[in-house]
Amino acid sequence: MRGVRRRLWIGLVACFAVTLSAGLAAAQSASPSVEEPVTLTIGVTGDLNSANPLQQIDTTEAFLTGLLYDFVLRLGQADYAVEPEMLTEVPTVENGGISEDGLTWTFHFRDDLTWSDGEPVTAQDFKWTADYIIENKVSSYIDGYRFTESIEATDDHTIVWTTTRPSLAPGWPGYSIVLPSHIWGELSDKEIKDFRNYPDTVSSGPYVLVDWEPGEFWRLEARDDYWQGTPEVDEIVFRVYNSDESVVQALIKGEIDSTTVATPNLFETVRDAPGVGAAVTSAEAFHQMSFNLADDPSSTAHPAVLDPVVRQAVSWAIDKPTLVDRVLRGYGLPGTTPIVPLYERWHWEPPDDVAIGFDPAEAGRLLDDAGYVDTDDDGVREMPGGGDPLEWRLFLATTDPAAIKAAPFIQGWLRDVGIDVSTRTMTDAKLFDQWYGFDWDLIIYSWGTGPDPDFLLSSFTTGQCGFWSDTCYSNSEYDGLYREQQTELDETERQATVDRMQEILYEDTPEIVLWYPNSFEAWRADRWEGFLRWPEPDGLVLFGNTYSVMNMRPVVDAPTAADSDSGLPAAVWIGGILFLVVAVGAVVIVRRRRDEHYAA
Amino acid sequence: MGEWRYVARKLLQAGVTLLFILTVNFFLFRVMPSDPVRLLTRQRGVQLTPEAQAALSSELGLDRPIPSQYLQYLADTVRLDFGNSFIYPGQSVVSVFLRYMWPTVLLVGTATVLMIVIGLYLGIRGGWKRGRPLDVGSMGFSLLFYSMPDFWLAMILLIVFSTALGWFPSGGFETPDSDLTGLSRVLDVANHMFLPVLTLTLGYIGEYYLVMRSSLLDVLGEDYITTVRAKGVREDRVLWRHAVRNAMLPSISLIALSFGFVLAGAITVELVFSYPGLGLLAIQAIDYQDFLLLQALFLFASLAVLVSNLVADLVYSWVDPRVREA
Repeated sequence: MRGVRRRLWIGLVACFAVTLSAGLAAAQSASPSVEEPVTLTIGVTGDLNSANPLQQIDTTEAFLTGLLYDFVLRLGQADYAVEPEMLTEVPTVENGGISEDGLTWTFHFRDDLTWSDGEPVTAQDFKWTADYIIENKVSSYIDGYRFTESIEATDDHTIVWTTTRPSLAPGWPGYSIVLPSHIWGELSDKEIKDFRNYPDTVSSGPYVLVDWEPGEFWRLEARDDYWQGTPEVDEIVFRVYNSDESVVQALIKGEIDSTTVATPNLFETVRDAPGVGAAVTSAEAFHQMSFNLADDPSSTAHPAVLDPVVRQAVSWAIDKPTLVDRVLRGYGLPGTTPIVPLYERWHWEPPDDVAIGFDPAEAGRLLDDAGYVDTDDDGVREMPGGGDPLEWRLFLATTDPAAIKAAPFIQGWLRDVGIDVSTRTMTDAKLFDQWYGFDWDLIIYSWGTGPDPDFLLSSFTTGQCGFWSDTCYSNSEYDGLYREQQTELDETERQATVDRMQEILYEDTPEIVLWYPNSFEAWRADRWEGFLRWPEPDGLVLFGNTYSVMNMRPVVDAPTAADSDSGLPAAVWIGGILFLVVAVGAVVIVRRRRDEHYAA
Repeated sequence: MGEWRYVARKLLQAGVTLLFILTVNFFLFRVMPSDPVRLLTRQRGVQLTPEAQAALSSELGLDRPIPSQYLQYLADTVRLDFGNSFIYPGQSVVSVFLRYMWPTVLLVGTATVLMIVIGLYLGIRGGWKRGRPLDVGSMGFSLLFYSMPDFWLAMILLIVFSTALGWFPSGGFETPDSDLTGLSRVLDVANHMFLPVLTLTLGYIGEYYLVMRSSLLDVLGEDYITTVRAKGVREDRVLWRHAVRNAMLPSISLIALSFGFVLAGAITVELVFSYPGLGLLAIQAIDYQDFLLLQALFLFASLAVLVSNLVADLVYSWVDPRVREA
């Protein structure tokens, strides 16, 4: 009996070993003889919801749009200088592209642009897209068409754009998208709203979208007839991961070539992994603590937040460098104005005599002088002349871990100067309900915009209350300056106006800019080279940066993501399953024999 | 006759529960504080004129009185018309649901079968040889994993078996963009499913193990077991023919219920292993406030539990006729 059992086991082990080695040998000999395409795999957290650029809502979708479509103008790689992309030159007064009165702009399109289906890209495509955007107020692009009086295609390669006001800053339709009118023009408005732009995506940029499995991945292929040349990266696969941790693990394992990294902790994990390159990129966004200044009967704001002196005092009471240190682990800068320092030309840094630092005594003095004193000795100040204690509600979004981390610090510092803050964390939806219902005192949130400050500055104007304004701040001087900078044709003058606006915001403090958080990117440095930072020296490495995509190339003889993706070779699986089947069979046989033995 | 009365009663109960679920599902999404029109417009960052908002509201049927909306909702549900998903523009909720359903059914279904088979087997063996090394071992093992949070176990397995050892892919349903077919595709899917299935299986073996073991111990103490043994029946037969059969009863309802939860997905495990299933879809729907999708997800998940409950009741009555009398 024992002999039978032993023989069976030996047989099993031998069977497993043979299958395994055969499988491994097969896997090794299966190395491809044909030229494999160069594939770049980018890990993303967050699915692609629509390939329709008019519906894009997040940075991943914006990156996709950048790979699929050329833009009329672009911001240069090294320094954000304005460059032509679809145009032959940037319109200026000197080259006749802008009329002397600043009202008429002429765009000359290149004549070698083609759609991926072979049709030429024409001025009519631009006109159709612009008309659609204006008519339907497409939020991502409408900003490019301010003051538009008319847009005419005078021939296949020329657009004449007339405006009601001269402007330099905002109204550049140049950063707007151009869609293929021979495809999109055939659809009804309703169909465009539901249009996924896949399959049969027709693009004007270096890549086309060829494959898309929602929840799993989408794949782009380089066009071989692209006018700026075919990139070395033949294919880009965006692979969807469901959590910030998993995508970092996938990079370390080598399943993907690149990803953004969500938190400082993860950045420090991935930074030291072998073969991985990692970088801290400049802050493009800011975190702010807004005050509810809504002049609306339904507002439930505490009256004290309406007083600019109180808001300044709060600013004095907050230790921003400590927040950067403790909340961001040093990956960021203390905040001053909502135009981030990355946009050097427009950012205004308060001079020393105006700058508000961390000084609780100064905060206390300001509050005392304005009459906010603690009359009942409970540690919390009351409104001047007694009355309501300074008890405020601070609301945070569950999706914003940095804000949640910062809240207890702020709570503590404000308590030290006699302001009692209670915090509540809620979903984005709930937060927006409170926000637009003016039912709050303080909110911490974060956002950011592109290099031109116009849109950001507009969000502090009176008319934006209920739309883009975080605070419902209203200041007629500011509103006037805003209109002035929009139509200021001299860039230096405009800069002075924009500086002054930031100074007003800094003094009036409708919101306190807490910090500018860095972002993180990581990539397989053992496989890829040729990245171009956008802008130099600390801008985006790859994610959102088409310049890098167009310039990067594989390190010679490096392994690729596809090699390390498969995990166990199929043969091991087959061997494993065979082994199991045989093992179960053997156990059954042995048992049956034993039973027979007993029965006998 | 009693049988049919019992079945009819159970069906009626299920029907009433279904109506209740539908009603709760309808009102749940109407008492939420968020105004759908505002949500829809804010998400896409559109500034709508009041007229456009009114038009959208009437398109969604939100301007009609509640009872009429309710009837419309019931009619739509019967036709499986849940409207269009908002996060996936231009696609119906049902098509989105179906796409994410199969991976989850495969994942959670496989894991459920494995946890049941292994858990019950260990429970039977453990109860039979109580206090022996196998029992003590499986008790420790299953309780250890049962007490670990899913997502934690998942992360550890991911880091060890995927990142460090490189045996399995770190996530997904299959290798993206591969043109595998036939057996190699099956193996590829299995490769991706291995760690999530392992996590779920390890995590929930304990549940079946404990239930099976304790009910077997109860049965083993019964007089008829002693009688059977006294008659000289072989030990194996005592266990499988006489003890296990009766001890299975509590496990049957547990099993039926487990299959009901297959459609609820395994949110944390799907999240860690980036598995494109219903758990992920639910999270997305919540994140992006896709109420129509969420409503359908809730409905299908409750329906699955309802149906499996019904099945449990019916199977139970068939296996153990005593419950019909009760």
